[in-house]
Amino acid sequence: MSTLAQESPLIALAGSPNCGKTALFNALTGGRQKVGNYAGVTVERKQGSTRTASGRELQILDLPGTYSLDARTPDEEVTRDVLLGHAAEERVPGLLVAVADATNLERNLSLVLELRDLGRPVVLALNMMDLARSRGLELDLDALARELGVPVVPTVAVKRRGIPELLEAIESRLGALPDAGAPRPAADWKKPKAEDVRLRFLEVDRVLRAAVRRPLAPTLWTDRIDRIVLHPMWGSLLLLVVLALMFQAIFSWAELPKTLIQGGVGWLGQTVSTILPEGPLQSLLVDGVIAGVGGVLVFLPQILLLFAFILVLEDSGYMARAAFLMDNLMGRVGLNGRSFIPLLSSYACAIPGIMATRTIADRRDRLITILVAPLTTCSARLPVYTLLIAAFVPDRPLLGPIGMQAGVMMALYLGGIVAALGMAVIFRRTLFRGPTPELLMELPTYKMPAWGNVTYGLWERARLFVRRAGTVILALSVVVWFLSTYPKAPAGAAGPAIDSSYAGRIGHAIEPLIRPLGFDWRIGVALIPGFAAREVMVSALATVYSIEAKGEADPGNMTQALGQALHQSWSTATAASLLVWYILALQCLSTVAVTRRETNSWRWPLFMLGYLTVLAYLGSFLTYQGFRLLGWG
Amino acid sequence: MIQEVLSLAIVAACVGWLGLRFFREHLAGPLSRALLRKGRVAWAMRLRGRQAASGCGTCSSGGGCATGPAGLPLAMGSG
Repeated sequence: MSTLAQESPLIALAGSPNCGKTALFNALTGGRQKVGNYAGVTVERKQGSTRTASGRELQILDLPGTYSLDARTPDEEVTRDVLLGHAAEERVPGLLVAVADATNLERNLSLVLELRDLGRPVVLALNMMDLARSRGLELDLDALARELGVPVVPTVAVKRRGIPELLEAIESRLGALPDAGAPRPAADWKKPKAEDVRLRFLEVDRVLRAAVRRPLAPTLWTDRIDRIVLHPMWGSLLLLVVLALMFQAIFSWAELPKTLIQGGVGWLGQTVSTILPEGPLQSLLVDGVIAGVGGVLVFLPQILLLFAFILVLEDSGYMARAAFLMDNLMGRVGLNGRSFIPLLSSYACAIPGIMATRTIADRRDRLITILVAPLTTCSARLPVYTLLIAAFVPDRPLLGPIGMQAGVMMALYLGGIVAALGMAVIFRRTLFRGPTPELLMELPTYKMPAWGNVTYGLWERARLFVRRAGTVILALSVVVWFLSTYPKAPAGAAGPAIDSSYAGRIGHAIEPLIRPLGFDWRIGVALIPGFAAREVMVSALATVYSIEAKGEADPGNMTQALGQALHQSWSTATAASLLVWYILALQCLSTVAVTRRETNSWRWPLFMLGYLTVLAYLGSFLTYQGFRLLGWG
Repeated sequence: MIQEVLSLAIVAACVGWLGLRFFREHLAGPLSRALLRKGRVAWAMRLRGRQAASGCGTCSSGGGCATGPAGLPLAMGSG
């Protein structure tokens, strides 16, 4: 940290979950942290800087949401410790910005009073004022400031309104402070007793009576929508329809951009083949780099479509309803209702999902969620699913506009959910016995998605995917090419040259182990680099098959050629077995590493790796043998 | 011959880069903690400087979820 950063005042943003702290942090600092229309998006502190109109630098700290300083979960403990000045690696904040959701003042003001009572300077940012006003709320801001004893600034963080005024209030509050040196930790803070809490809520009532001129009108349209969306039958049906449409869109809407990227990759392969004379470098570039990276890159449109749906559903407030609908089911399998958001985050990647379990207070519930999080379908599996579905499932209508391919994709996602819930039941009844806690969940109001957030989220996703393709996947493709090319076959050797290569030898060595699953040595070769990044399986298969078909494959159409090659050389049973392997196996080194960090022990990541590998092996074995018995072998 | 040398050089660079990345993501952290326990603070700090955030290339938070050294310790048993 620079000297300047050390000297500038540290301003901490604190407030209840989903009151818009991160949006305010982004508006203040120009940051691009993820925001969402549900509680629990932020589970760690984030820091940025900003300048006031007079040029004074301020360090801004975004903290996980909490309803009270009486912390119950690990993320709330972070907030409490930082606010009290008890966090070992953090400076004591010089000023607190209490962020409150203006549409939910009854629940938000209690924390504001707690912050005020810490004795640090406080400024109240009354956020989401546009929504509150549109719902008829009339507030006397002067009265509110007077009753609370802190300056009040109305803001609309997502639209960056009220930010200059907030900075001005912060600066004026800082300027009014006597120069008493660095802020000191709150040494005399005590955990509130029941009576303290009761008195605080009476105080909230008193403040609101003095400041509210016209109360908030009930959100009739939100209630009306919720009557259908939260209905046990209609709501569940609607959720299934939304999911089906999402998976259908992944196949049909992505077709054009996918064809364009395929064309571009093919053209590049052909051009390099024409320019370079035949030899190892040409093979490396065409069979290794272009086949490998291009084979993964063509799935970018599908990944972006999936995330566009998820971002819009999150931002609109629908995802919190989906969590509510799932709670009954999750409670039955012994999962905490709070597990839904971590599991939902795992659809992007298990790493933020496992980190999001910090919102779960009970250690056993948290461990169960961590252990089953890798079973939800992360986006790195999508290229593998799409490749195999396109190669083995006919493109025929299934139900109305939903095709068979979308149906199978949905079944794979549901398969991951069923496996996660099933394992949660087993863990709850064996390793982690105990009652299932009730879910207390605040449902946000529906709102139009902030299109800027959605666009930025998609841009970030595309950037990351392309960067990953251009770095890890490229490097691993080059290594797979080397292993598949060297040593060269001796003169006069029968069979494909790849049989004599290191990859061929490794593949043949592990083949007896994976043969019962229907996997041949080529799949074995592709599974190994898949541990570094799941989607490398696709590029590794592309490289292995491209090298094997040397001189026969058309470099202009490599992705389609891979699908055809798989269709010709694998049985339906093998493809199904591999899909089941991909649903269940923990093919991700980074997930192991983050589990080690979050559980502070090697015991749980190794247990996770062990049980998921056994589960995947058994699942694939049963699928392959079952398909064979049915005559699809 | 030139093609062979060039392609092997590219392979060597990729292997080196992957090895370095693996070291920074998975080994530098535990190794620096082990060195700290043995009192070799200077070496531990050098290693910590090279430590990378956990590999979360596909994460929706854009890799900016503070998984790196800036995050506060929240692990079970330490938080």
